[in-house]
Amino acid sequence: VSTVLQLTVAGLALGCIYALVASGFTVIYRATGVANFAQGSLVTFGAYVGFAMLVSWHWPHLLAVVGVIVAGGLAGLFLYFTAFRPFIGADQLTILVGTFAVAWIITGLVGVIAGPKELAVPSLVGEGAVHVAGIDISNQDILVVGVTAVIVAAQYLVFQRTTLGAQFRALASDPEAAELVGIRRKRVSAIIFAIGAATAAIAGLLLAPLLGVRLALGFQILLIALVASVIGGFSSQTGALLGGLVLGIVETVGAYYLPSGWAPALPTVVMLLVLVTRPEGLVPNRVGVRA
Amino acid sequence: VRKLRVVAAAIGCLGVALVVASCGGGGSSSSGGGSTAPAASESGESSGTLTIGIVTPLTGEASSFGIAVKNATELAIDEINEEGGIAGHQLELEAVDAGETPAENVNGMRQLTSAHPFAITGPLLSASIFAEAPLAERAQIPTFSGVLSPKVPEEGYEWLFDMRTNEAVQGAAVVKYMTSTLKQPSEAKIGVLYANDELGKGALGVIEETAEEEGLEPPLARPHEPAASNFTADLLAMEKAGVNELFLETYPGPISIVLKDLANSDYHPQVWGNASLPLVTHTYELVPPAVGAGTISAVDCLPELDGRPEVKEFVKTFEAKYKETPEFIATWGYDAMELLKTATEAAGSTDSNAVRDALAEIKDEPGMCQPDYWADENLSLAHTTLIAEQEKNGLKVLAKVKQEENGDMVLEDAE
Repeated sequence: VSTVLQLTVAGLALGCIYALVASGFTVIYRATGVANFAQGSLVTFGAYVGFAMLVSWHWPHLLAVVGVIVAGGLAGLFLYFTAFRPFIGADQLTILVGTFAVAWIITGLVGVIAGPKELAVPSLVGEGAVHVAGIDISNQDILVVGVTAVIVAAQYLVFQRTTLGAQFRALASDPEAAELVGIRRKRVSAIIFAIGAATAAIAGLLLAPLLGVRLALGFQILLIALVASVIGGFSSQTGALLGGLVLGIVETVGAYYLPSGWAPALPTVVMLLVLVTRPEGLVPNRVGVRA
Repeated sequence: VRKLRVVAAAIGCLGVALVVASCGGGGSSSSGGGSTAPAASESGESSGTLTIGIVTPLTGEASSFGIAVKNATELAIDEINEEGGIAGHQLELEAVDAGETPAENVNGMRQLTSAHPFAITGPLLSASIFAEAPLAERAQIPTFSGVLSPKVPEEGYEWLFDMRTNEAVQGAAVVKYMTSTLKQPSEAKIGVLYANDELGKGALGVIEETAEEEGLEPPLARPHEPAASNFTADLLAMEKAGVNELFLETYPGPISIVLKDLANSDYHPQVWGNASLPLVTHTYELVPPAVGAGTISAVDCLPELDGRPEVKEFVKTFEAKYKETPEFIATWGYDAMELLKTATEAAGSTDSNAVRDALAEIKDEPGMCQPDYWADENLSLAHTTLIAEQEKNGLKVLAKVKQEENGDMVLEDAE
């Protein structure tokens, strides 16, 4: 039992990271219909900004967290104004390629400024672990789960209880009708890009102490976050969260019980199973929402 | 739903692209080279200068290694030129950026071989060496590499000289040393966490063989993808199996994750590794000192700890010029140029065939990274591996393992 519990806890923490990146991916997709392939480079960006603030500039932890959120938001606006806004009205493929281009620009700039060497970022809560019921839970894993819970709750409040949230949901449901009733589509989209990017940047900050800071960090996580989004159904933050958690836990538990080397195939297998049995994803799309 | 499927298909394509990219050039087949053998074997020579081509990553993630190799090569060339060059010829370095993908490495090699320099140095990527080496073979240019693939010696290349002890030699050296530290070999339960690629699998085979020769139980081996980031299941499996000697035969990224995971758990096996381990604990300090302390690894050399006066002078000059310590991963670049000089002078000619033959005859030539370089039948030049322990304030050499001409590994105390 303790083995399963240990694996589940580790998978939960990993799944939270997937969920955060998937959440940013989903929110932009819902508002704009754009599959933002720059989401991975925004994770990388967040990790490097976190390194600069925590290690190079010795900022207090809380200030660094705020700094990463702000920097991520600004990067999201950059993405919006370069890869989305100039191409409004163009076909999906054009915008998708645009997000790829911006991804390369962001990663390239980060590489030029920070250099190629892999960097280490200390955990915001220090190394160490809590031992509960025969299992080890690292401080970083606890932080990851806690921050994910806070972000998910904050996103829920913003999207369900604010005017911006109502505008966002209207856009997600029917962009043309939303514009007809006076919703400023471009403005809302810009804010959504900022929120999605800030979420990815925070994921980068959380991931950095676990995996180290390197240019390929975001690319590594992008694919799995996309799979999590598809599993979740691309329709809601709940779906993204669920998709990420399912992947994290299945991957970790499966790696233990299946023959060595099979684990990398698990995300794809889960995605295929979900698409075959529930084509709309784990959290079904409600009427009118983009999918 | 249709869009969802389109996105799923896009993800599938992206995944396939990733797999193809990671596998590219990994086989032993040669790629279509455009270069031809030189018309004359006096090559790379113009107006009394000899061109040395270097193809190594100068941009991208591996560029910290590539730039260090280039610096070491450049330093050797400057010194050789100051001393009058090679056989009266000044050397000139022509650098080509190999980028970070196997395809870029191969293109860089193709570009260099077309220019037909006197010698080539710099290849570092095991994934592309099997496509790069045939180009050098076809062009008949003496080429020095720093790749760790244990399969390189098996290919029978005639123009490729390996300047580093490969993964298999390092793995065998570690197991040899590990056995010497055990009071009861039966108490040792070895686990090997290895990268599921040609590099990791090649080394695993040798580790298993050496363990058997040393009378140890067969290791518990668990593969992982080179880009893996989650090792909870692997470590739990090792712990449940009673593994107390954990060998990390993988890359710096996975090593740093595993070390941190172990530090945050109650499972504390003795950790062993190849030369990637000190990159994590020492060179790039990717884990806090307390997390890396106690790990033991194979390493080609540690110039900063070498007591020989000429090595001390080399370290001092390198640090003064490049503001960083010459790492083991780069120092071979310096030694390659010195060996080229020795061989060319021994050949008495810049004829590429004569130089190649003289390099293949290299014997007991001291370098900055190796106490003595000698060429074996596979043209591997490095045969000494240091065993070093990471302490909280640096590395300490515990022993050295020398590979003899008959293939035996001989353990010697650290000097």
